[in-house]
Amino acid sequence: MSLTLGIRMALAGGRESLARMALMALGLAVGVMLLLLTLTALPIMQSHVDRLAWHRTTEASPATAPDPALWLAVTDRYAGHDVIRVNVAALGPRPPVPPGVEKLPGPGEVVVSPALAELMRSIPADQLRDRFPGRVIGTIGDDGLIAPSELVGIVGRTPEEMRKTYGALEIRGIEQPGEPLDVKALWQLVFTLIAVLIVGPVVVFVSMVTRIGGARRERRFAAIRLAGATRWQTALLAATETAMAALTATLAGFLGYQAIRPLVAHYVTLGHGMPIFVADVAAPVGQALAVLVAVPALAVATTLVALRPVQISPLGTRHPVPRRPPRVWRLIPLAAGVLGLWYLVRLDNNPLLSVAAPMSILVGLVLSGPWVCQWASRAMARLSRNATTLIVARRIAADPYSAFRSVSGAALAMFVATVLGMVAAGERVSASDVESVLRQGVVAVHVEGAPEESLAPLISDGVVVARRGPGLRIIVDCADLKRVANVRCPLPWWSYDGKSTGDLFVVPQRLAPRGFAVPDTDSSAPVQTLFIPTDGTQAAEERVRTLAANVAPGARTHTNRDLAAQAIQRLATWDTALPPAMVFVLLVAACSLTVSTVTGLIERRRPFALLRASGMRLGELRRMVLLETVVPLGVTVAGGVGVAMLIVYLLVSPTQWVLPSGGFFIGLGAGVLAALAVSAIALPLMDVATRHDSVRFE
Amino acid sequence: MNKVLIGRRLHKSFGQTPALRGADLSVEAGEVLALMGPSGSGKSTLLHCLAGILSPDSGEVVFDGRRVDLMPDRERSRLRRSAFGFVFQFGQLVPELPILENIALPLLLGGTRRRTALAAAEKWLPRLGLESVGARLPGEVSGGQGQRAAIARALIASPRLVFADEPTGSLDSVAADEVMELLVTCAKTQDAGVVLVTHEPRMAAFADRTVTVRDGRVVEAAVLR
Repeated sequence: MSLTLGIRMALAGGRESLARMALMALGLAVGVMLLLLTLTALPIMQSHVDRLAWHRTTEASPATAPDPALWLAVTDRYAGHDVIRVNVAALGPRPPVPPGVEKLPGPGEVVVSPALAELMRSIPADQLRDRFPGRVIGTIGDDGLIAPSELVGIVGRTPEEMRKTYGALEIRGIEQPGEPLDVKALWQLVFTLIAVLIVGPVVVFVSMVTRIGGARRERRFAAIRLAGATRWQTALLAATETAMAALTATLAGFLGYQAIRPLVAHYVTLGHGMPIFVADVAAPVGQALAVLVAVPALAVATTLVALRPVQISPLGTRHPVPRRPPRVWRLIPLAAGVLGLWYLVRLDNNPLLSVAAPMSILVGLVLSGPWVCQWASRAMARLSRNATTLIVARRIAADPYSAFRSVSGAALAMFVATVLGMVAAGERVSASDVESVLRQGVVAVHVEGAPEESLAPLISDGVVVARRGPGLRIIVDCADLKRVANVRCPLPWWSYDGKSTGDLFVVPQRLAPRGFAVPDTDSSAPVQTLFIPTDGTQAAEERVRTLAANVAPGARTHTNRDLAAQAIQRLATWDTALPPAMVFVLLVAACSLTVSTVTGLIERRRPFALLRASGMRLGELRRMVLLETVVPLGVTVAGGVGVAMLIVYLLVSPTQWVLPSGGFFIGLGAGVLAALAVSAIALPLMDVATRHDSVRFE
Repeated sequence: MNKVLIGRRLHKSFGQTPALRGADLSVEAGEVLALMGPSGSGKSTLLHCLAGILSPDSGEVVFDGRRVDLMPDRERSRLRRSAFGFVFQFGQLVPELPILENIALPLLLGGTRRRTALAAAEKWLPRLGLESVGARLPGEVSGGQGQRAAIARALIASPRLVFADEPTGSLDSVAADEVMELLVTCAKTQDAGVVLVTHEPRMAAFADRTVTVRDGRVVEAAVLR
């Protein structure tokens, strides 16, 4: 009986009830979708690590095949993109085979990724194709790629060729996926903040929506309780309405998540600048099911908690026992979280603290908001000079909890956006340092001990040769090096002007140079790096790279363009993800404010009408309603931004602590103003809502 | 006479504000008892405690030999469905249900099949002059018609007692007289007692006995019939 009665009542509840259900369903659907997408973060990163596994193959990799092979993987570059070139030679009929490939290519054969095959077709051979000598016999499948547009090729060689190539390893197996993800404290914080940035305002929006028509719903259920309904029956009736909206929302949210996965895959670039596979954007099944069950359950629970007064008494009315004003203890979780973060970053990277500290900060922000609103309103009351501001100040001071609740979504969003914006600004600073070590047009070819006679085609007039001497010193003439790199003579080893001469020699850490030496007449020391000037065009640089790939297959190359591109890729993730996220959360926060303003207007229609009947002008009433939102919003946003700056100051090194550009703050301010403007949509309703018929009592 | 409902030494406070300070009251079977008193005297709180809607802070409420104040909520809900009926000033009809279903609500909540419950409710429509409004929503009928529907709902389950808190407070004098007349007549037809809270002597005149509540205590009583 109760279920069917509940369904009938939910559908017969009129416009107010249908509007509430529709808005609740919309908010919950968005919440489900975002929660599911948030759950894909770690699987995406794990998939990335798994896909990278075979690239980490070394001679120590566990055996995966009966016969060994010779293996040399080189990360080359083309037009700012990584191009992976793996040289292989089977040492038996059943060698280890990388994923995505049916068999290891033999001498004169090449297997390439689809993106590399397409690129090879579109540009002159001497700029790329010739780096992969041989006949293309097939493409690498998705299992062997990091991303759909990865540029990777496997070149088949003879064992003799490979044995003469410096750096070639004998392997017995391909490194397998399964390495656990190591998520650093800072990234955990970033993920947590992103989750809050996205999901928090939606939660606030849903809680605001459930208040629509709350008084009328309370009266309805009080009447039912009075007629003899038990608490369980009342709960079932109340839950039915919410459950109908929540189940619809869960389905819509799941469908929305499925629909938006390709978009996420397109925008998420894990530092390599390439969109990822849609299949990798997948929330773990168990966690996804938990979300699909938990969200409707929480929505129903929220409804039941809101109706608790009715559950307790069929009168459904709360006798006014005033809630205690917020006390200063509410600042403790925030302070503790900030201290914990400082300890975490400066003293000890404790895994438990890396989760507890950010959570304590977020909880602390929510707890301290009412306290801040209370004291701001008391100050406002003391300073007010007219009835409007005085009424607003007293009202906020009387119930700072409600005042903060309506703006909490926007305040949290501003806090998180400021943290992310400042971290991104720091990244820009560090990224700009490495741009200009190599001069434009110079290709640095790191040959690492390749036979000098084989390098002859690369050495011509103007090429600067840097050799590796005893004690890992680099033997090079400084005046020569100055022709190809932005350095000062004599050559120090420490950094100056924010640049490090070590950046000229990108080698494994175990071979990192320890100093410089002046060349003498003995030129028998092995060649470390060749600095080859070109005319500065990309085509010329790529031709040098192609030549290097054939002359010294194990060589790595760098240009001035590569160093800049790496920095740009790091920033691309911030630049593509942050603005849409901020726009979204500000919109949701604006909707919460609007719902809160409209609901408050409906609930206080009679007192407002009485004020107007007593002589208050409509403009003053509107100013009052606007101030009730502006004051808490301004105070909490300012507080949130301030706390965010303090946290970033603690998290990053002093050189990286920079304020974001003026554009960022203009964007933040514009976002807050836009949120206010949307919430002000309710103001024109005040004229209708506060007319004389609202003061009738019979 | 048989006392069907007894309240002894009832105390009830809301926060720091005491509403009842040791009120004593008994209700005889089938009698119409009016509780009168100034605003804020505690008469509504006393009625709510006697009806099991509120639990007193101390004291006892006994109905048919059983302690109502000690009953779990489930039992008190059952009392409200079967042994008690309620007619309040406003707000007791469910806005989303038509008048007929509002009348049938106690039976529906008690597990009676819908068809049976609605058939029982149908019989009350002509008794209370509601034949033409059974399908309308509470918001579509007049105040008097709404109160008559509330009376029907209060009596449909043949209760022993009907609790009425200012049932005519929002009605004009003609409608008020009509509603009181119907309430008392229908209750007496079913041998149901009525506990009525009112501040209007004209409404209290329908009662068999009146008591005055002042400062949370029952201070005087008068037998009218």
